[in-house]
Amino acid sequence: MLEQILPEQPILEPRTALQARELRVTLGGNEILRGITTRFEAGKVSMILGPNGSGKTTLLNVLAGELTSGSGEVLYGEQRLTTKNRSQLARVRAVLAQHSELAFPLTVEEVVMMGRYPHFVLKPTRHDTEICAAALEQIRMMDFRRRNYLTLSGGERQRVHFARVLAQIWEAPQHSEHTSHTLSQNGTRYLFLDEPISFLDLKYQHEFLHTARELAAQNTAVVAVLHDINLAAQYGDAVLVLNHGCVVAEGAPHAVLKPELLWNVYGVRSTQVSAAGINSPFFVTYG
Amino acid sequence: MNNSRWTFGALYSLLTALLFVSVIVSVRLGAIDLSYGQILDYTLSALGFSSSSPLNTLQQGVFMQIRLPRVLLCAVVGAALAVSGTLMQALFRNPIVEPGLVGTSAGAAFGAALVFVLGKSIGASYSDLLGSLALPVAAFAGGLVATLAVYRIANTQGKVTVATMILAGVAVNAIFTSGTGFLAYIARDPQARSITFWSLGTFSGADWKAVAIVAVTTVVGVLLALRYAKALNALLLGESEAAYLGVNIQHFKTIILLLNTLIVATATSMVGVIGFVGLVTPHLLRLIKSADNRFLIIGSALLGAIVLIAADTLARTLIAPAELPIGVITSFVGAPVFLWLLVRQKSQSQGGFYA
Repeated sequence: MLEQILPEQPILEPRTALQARELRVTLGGNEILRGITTRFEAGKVSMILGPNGSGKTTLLNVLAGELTSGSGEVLYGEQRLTTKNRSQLARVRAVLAQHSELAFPLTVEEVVMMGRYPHFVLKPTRHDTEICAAALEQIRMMDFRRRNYLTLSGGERQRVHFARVLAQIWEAPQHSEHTSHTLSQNGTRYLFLDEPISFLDLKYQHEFLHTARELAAQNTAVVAVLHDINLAAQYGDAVLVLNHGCVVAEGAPHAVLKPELLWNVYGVRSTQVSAAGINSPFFVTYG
Repeated sequence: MNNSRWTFGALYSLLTALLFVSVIVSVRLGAIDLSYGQILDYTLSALGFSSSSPLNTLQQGVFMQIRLPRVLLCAVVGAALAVSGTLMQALFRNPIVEPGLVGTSAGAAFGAALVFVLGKSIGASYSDLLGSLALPVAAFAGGLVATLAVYRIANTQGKVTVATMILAGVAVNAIFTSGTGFLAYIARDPQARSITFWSLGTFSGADWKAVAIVAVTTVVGVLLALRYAKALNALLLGESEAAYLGVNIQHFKTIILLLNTLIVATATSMVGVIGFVGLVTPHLLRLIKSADNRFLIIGSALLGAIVLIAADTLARTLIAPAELPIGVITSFVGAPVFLWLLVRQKSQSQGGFYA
């Protein structure tokens, strides 16, 4: 009797937001990615780890839709990524690159506004301006908004670009009858971070990763390339370890990250230690 | 930098007013000085109003057929070169680029010289319209080849190397300048004189037809460029960043290159090579207000016109009744600015020019 009255419980399966199938990329005669198949979930922060030259950045570029020269396919939700849906993609997916080559005296505000470019045609709306202000507030750089970008330090520049990227995917895409966001089922957003914290001091590293987690909680698939194993374990829901263009391990940090893996992949010896208040695995490495 | 208290609107109004004033002042000065009253009378009569005072037909002829078209040609060419400087600086992501440096102007001049010298000896019996179009078309082809060559050489894997760009610019400039020199050598005398004069630019041949041709391409060019202001800004971040913001990079770069070559080639085919206007004008605007390309495009069109009118006024009044080539003036002022920028780039490798 009871079974008939209650509606069937939805199966709470983690939602796959992003899939890579058999990605192969050859650059300059070197096979950078050798058949990578993996998936990323919305609501989670996924960390890509691996030694230099293991293909981390290349994988990120392929997933983000910038590099299209290889074979295999990338699926956003159910939709295959092609070069045709570029402008649609820019409204739901943002990328924070390792470094930017901006050499012109734009203000911090103007740089952050670039994140809204995919959303307006000619002039920013009041809404766009508000979002930029909120993004600057989020990274606590509101006082810098009229500063010349070129006078900022490396870390400050990185935070400005983070604000720009946040502004780009500040809101879940609006579903309207005319523009169906097939790349973003249920309003999923995508954030790719390539070594985002390399120029930040300790405090901002943690603040940054904390913000990334908050964004992930709002139905965003966050994929980050990180060098710091311990921070990856602390802030990542999942890790993907690459070596020589192949996936060597993937899963939850505590399941994947072991001293043996660090030895096999990086060639460094390490001891797993426990630190008060940290539940994730934590390593001291010896080189 | 947006450090100015002026709003964009106020700056546009100020520049427009300055442009108006410089046109009037420049029209007045010259071998025959005109009074403001005369200028008003001639303008009114040209617009179809009858004047109360009897008109001096010689002076009216000077005004309508020589002075006014010349000043207006200066304005549209200045706007074309300055907007081109803005576009190229965004495309190369470097504030020291301009059409004279990367070979666009030299290539265009060569193309135009080719038509100039060989067109008549081939004896092509083109109609007047076709003949007047052959010049800009050949200039366009020459300018495109030169710009593409420098861009391809300097831009490797999405990055522009400044040293390579400048060296490639020097070499491409040399190739086309020597080509033009060769044409001048084989040309019959009166043609040759006008070609050599071209390498430093001249407005002495200005007429209404030239004004109309350059004005049309410049206005169309500016309006189209404004549509791409957002993408030009995004490109400042780098090619992949711009792609992440939804810009179709290859398509966009091709359009900007074509647009830029169109406006430079048309201007160059009418008045020759005039350097440094495209370099100095956007630079001034960045110092005054902002590096936002929407502002730079509109601002460059206005300020470039003012700068070139001022330069031409100097060119024809400094040693009057003789006349300096206008390129002498623009290079004399612009080249030191270029060197200063280069030194600043070297000394502030971290911050760039404007830190």
